[in-house]
Amino acid sequence: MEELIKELKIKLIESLNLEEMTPEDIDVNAPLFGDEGLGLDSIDVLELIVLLEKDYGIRLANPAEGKAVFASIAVMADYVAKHRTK
Amino acid sequence: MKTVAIEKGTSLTELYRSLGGDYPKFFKMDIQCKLGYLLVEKLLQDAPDRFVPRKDVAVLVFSRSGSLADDKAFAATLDTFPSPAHFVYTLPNTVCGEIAIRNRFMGETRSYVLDSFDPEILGELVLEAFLDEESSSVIAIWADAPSEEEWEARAWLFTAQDLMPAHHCCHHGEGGCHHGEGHHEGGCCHGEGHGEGSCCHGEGHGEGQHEGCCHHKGE
Amino acid sequence: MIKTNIIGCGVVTPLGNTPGDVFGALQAGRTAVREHPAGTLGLKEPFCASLFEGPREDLFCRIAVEAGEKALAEAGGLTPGTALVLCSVKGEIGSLREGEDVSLAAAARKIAERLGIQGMPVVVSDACISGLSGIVQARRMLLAGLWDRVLVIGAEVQSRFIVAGFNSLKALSEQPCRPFDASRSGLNPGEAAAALVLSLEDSPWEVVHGAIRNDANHISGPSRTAEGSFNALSAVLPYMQGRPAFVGVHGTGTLYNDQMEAIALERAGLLDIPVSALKGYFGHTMGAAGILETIIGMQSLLQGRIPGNRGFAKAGTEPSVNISAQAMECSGNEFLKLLSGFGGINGALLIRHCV
Repeated sequence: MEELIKELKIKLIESLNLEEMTPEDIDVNAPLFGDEGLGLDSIDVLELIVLLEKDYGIRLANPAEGKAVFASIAVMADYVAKHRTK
Repeated sequence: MKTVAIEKGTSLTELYRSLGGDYPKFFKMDIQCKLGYLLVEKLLQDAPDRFVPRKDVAVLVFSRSGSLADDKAFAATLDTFPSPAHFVYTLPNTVCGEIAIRNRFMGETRSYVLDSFDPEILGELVLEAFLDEESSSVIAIWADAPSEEEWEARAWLFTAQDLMPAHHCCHHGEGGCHHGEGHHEGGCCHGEGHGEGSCCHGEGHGEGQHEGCCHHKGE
Repeated sequence: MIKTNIIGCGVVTPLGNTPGDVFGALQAGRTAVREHPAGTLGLKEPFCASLFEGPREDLFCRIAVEAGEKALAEAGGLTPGTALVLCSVKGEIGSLREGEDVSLAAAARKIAERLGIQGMPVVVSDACISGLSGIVQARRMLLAGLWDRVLVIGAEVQSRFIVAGFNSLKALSEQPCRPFDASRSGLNPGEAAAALVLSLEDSPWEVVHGAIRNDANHISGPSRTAEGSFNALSAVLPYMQGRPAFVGVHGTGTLYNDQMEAIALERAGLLDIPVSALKGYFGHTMGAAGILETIIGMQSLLQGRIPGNRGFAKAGTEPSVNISAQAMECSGNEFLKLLSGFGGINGALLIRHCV
């Protein structure tokens, strides 16, 4: 799980262009969305949905599911570990 | 009239930081949006009341390539997983959108594609932007970036004073546009005659007759 | 008072190639939106859209030229002082892979050449409001005294680029779109070309005023409080002579757009005005929409009747608007056209018929 969490942090930073962040900056339990979190928005959710499919073979048909799955890195890692097909 | 430019080869990240940074969204933008964003940061560096929502600043973005650099980046994802983050930037008017969001500009924003940088046509379109009653200044941007490495980026801030200092006068009784001849100061579009004022090229010299949409600085 | 008037129209659509034919098709309840199988335009999955049949070679320029020729013919021909404004979102982007010059400027040059129009065309690329923007531009070009006439052409053809793009944003509906309906789920791509000739010469059709305003909120989602749309409306409303006969809405059938427009209408005090949403008939024609939908609006005003809002059944916005699946009588001599687009851009246009 440690590995997966580290991997997700790096992928998040790369795919969402969080240029000025390092993996150490991201709290595993911090909300990804909203002002207190990383400030991700609706386009970021869609991009993360693509990432899930591309890198882990997980198909999220509904963007509405996305907000729950991407609540935090910890939640995301849990979901990926359970549902990955790659 | 104020003008700024970003030379090709400039590190945009360094420029962003030197202008204060503090806007992480910058890194999500495509090259055309980054250039537009930075040009306006430069233009409005010392402007009072920045970030107070306003409707009186029109933003016009011009280019030949539009969002070509991002079009190619998006097209490269088509065979596998089309990228939404790329697709949203495959529109030249998102430059306007990013500038509007950053600066709280709720007035008119427009995006145009021209076959080349043509000061006369640019000048006409800038002048016509003043025909919107709420616009008292116009930011005009030429941001042509066919790729991440190649670009031309310049911007100008025009106020109504730059074009029509003394009076509004128009052939057709609305807005301000000279169609006449003779002496006149300040802004003039399509006129002939002697004049002072601002020039889209950001430089200019010489007196005497001049045609076209941007006046040249008299000497 | 200087008036900028419409002296010629032209349309090229999968539903018909004259304004009368297209309006007749709408009145007969015909739609060009249908399901296209996987493989269409090189896409991997089936999708709902309104597309032209026949060869697609050079389609963008062909339909733009054809619409332009029709509008010019109605205006009595081409004059030397005629400028060209082209409106489109992605132009010939479908040729991107082949290494073609896909700049809208290149397409505009080709179109101008074929029409015999001199000078550098102006291309307006304001996302989905481009056609409306083009009309506003044409009006100002005339007011500035620089041109006798302006030919405004809006055109869009669909491609894998655009459809896959909208799909990546989950903005497409798998069904024919349902503007303002409670179960609406997205838009249908469409293609068309439409053209107007504007002039200071007399005609019964006046482009009274138009305004474009940015939400300054988000680059792809509309403002929840409809800032830009309301501000555009506010700039135009003072020019109305009375109550508008109807409002031609953008009505893409996405959750957020239609809701936003309902808010805009509420804020502007126009909730009682009949709403005309046309995208159920020919999809979202993007760069052509502002012009095509204005031309159909003109037909509606003339007939005193707006077509049924195809795809609408049950109110799905809060507040609800005055919209019906059935054709509605309307009275008045002017109508409003609204459009919104990516980049937070919104436009409003006021068209008047003077007898």
